[in-house]
Amino acid sequence: MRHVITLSLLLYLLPAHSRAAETASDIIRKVDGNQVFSTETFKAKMVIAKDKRTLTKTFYGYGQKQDMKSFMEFTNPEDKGVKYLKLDDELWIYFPDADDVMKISGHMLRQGMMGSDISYEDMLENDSIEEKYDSRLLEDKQVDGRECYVVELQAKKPDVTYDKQVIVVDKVWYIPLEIELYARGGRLLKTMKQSEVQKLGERFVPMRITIRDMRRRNSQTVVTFEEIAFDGKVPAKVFTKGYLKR
Amino acid sequence: MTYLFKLALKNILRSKIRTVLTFLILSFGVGIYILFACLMAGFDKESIVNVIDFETGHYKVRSANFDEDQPYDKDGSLANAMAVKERLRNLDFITAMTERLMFLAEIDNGVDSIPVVAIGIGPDDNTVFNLKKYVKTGGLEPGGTIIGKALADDLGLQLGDVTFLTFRNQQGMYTSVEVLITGLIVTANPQVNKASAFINLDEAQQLMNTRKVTEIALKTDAFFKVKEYEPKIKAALSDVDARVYSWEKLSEDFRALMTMKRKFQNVLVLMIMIIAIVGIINTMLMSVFEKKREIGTMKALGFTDKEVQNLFLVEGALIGVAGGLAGLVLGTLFNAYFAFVGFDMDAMFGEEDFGMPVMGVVKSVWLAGAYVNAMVFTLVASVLASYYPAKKVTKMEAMECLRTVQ
Amino acid sequence: MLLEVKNLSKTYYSGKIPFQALRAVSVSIAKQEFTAIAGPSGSGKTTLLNCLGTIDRAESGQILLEGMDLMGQTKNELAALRKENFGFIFQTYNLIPVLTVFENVEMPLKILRRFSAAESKKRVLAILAKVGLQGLENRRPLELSGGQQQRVSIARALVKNPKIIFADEPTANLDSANGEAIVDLMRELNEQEEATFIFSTHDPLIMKHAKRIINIRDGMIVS
Ligand SMILES: Nc1ncnc2c1ncn2[C@@H]1O[C@H](COP(=O)(O)OP(=O)(O)OP(=O)(O)O)[C@@H](O)[C@H]1O
Ligand SMILES: [Mg+2]
Repeated sequence: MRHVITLSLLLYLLPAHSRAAETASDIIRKVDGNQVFSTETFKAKMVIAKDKRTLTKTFYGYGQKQDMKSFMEFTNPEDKGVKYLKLDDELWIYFPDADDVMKISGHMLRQGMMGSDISYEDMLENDSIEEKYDSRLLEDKQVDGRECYVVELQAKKPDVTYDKQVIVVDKVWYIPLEIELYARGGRLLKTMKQSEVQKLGERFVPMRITIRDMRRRNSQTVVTFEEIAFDGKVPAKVFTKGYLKR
Repeated sequence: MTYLFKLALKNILRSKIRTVLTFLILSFGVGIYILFACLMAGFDKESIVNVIDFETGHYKVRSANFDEDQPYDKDGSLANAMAVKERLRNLDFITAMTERLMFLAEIDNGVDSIPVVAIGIGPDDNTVFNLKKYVKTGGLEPGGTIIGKALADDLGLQLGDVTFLTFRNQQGMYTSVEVLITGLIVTANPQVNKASAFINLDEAQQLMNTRKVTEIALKTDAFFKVKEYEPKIKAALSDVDARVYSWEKLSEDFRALMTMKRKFQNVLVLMIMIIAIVGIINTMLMSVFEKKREIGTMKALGFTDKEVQNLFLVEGALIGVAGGLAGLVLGTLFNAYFAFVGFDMDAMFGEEDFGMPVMGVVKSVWLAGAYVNAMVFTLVASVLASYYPAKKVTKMEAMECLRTVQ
Repeated sequence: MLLEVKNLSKTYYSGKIPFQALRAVSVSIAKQEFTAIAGPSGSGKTTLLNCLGTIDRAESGQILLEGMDLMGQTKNELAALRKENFGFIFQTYNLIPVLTVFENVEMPLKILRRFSAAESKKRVLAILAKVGLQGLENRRPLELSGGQQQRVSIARALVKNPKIIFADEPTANLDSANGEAIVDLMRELNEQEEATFIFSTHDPLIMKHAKRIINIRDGMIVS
């Protein structure tokens, strides 16, 4: 849990919602709370559809929530051995063909990871919602037959990535089923849908994430988790640059 | 010697098709070389003018933080443009200044999105740059953009269509703005044609949420006086956060590339010349074998080996000089066309640019050096090319020559 | 004696196989002689003429031109010597095709560099008149008949008044009438110009015009 104090302060200051039900902040907090884990281990498949072509990539990875570290390695034949390492706000990539570790920076950040609709920038996103956004509850809506809250987040200052976010949160699971990301100027840039929610222990986990860049109409990227486990033991060495080149 | 000279001349003037052919190849080679050299010099001149007119101005002043390797990626903008301008105003050789704000953006039509450099230009941009020269249709209007024609084609957009520019502003927030395409630009630089969008400076600043600019571009009364002016500009700006770049520095990479291409072109020219030389050697060798009996006769008549050898050397040199001179005339004729009418890049290559830093009609220049080179080279080369065949003559015994049946 | 040859021997090598073309030939030629070297094909006529004319080298013996031995001379010395003293007439005429009749005949004078343009022109025209080619000065060799070409070649050999004129089968490429006309001409010039002729032939018709005949067989003089 980040910045508990700020959040509670925020909650205090938020205008009480007329429905006397949960406030937008409550919801966001619950969503956030739902994502508490120390480590994660996953195996996933990414299907990138562009016009009529589709590319399928497989990878596995580890994440460590607290220090915002993550590691990924691709296993499909075309990209076998390509590895990503995220350390806080830095992203490193290793190409086995070149046997070289490279920092992704500058204009490269805007490119899609492995040609997908997930930009490297998206991977580095660490914005704290509670701190940087004003939240507001909009009218409820149904997604795939499930009752959802709709929370609109409006940036307080123009120093966050997205000016506005609209998050559609399942009322029972407290999982965002849809996220819309808007640019300053009001344009919808990206949408993210989470589905195939499964219960893993106490936790509800969406196994399928669909990302669309609205500027590229004919493309979408679907990530499906084939295996996912939380709070297991992850070797610390995977989060080092040395491990990339191993 | 004069007699040998006359003999050689008669040999050539009354010679066979082969000699005529060698002469033609040689003169054609020289002509092509001259045309090539002059045309290339024309290209060079034009491309330098292009670079200055469109990209570099005479000088640019940027922040010391500006990252030349990854331009516009990070915030390398000039914080104190006012102070810079104030100081430059005292330098009387600076005739104009204009500010530009550059940032990385993506342009999209809702289907495809292409990375571009967005360039905010002020109303006084034309005092330093000559954008107008490259704008094919339209111009810059409020709320509008001028984009590369190639870029527009890639996105299937036309003049009057609406497109989106998306970028992260100074503070990092995604900003997306709808802009009207009010102008299309075609330059010789494919990078510019495929990846740039010009917008109004005030709009750019508003969108980026900044008052800063990326650079101040300068024009002076003489662009070639870099050595004289650059230190003065630097001195004037010594107490502010600013770095001065001359057009020479700014076009360094580009000119290095030009030199590299030139080397490659020189190899091509060299090949033409080698072919011409091989032609001479071949002609002379054939001539030597064909004239074996004549050689024997001349030796019997009392010509020394040296005299006969010289006869062939002179013959080769004459073919060289004549071919060279004819080549000069031919080259002059070829080049005259391109110097007066010009070379229409668009008609020749269409949209294909081949990485040439020029476009439109390029006019060739007259390069005295090319003439000197061609003449010296052909003379030396043809004498050298005749040397071996002539040397062979010396080795031949008069008796052996006479015995040959032809 | 104008020319004295003593024990001249010449061996050809075709590859490593030696062939002795001249075997200790000794012969003397006096001024204004008109000598035919006669012999069957392969007997060594050409070889002898070439060696005497210094366009081929014998390996042993002596060739004395007015008492001066030519055997030890360098290539360049021999070239200068030929330029001054010898004229040549070839079986195949060997005119320079790109030059006119006039220019061909003029050539020996040109390389002697001794004559003014006017004088050399006078000489050329005179000798051309003597060989009966007036009016053909500007023709090219290929525009002439064989007999005419050989006349040009005779004119060329004679124009500088050399001490000796060597003629290897000068009539072999001509029909007998023309051949005889050519020897007649040579004979005439031999008288008028006091020129010394040594020519080879195996044609008895031609031989009879000679003042003296040297018979050669298998590289040896037979009398
Ligand atoms: N370069 C050479 N190499 C080898 N043998 C040669 C060479 N030149 C000539 N011979 C040989 O020397 C001999 C004399 O040759 P030469 O040419 O002097 O004869 P010839 O009397 O002039 O004959 P012809 O009447 O046929 O002209 C011949 O047997 C010939 O085969
Ligand atoms: Mg013979």
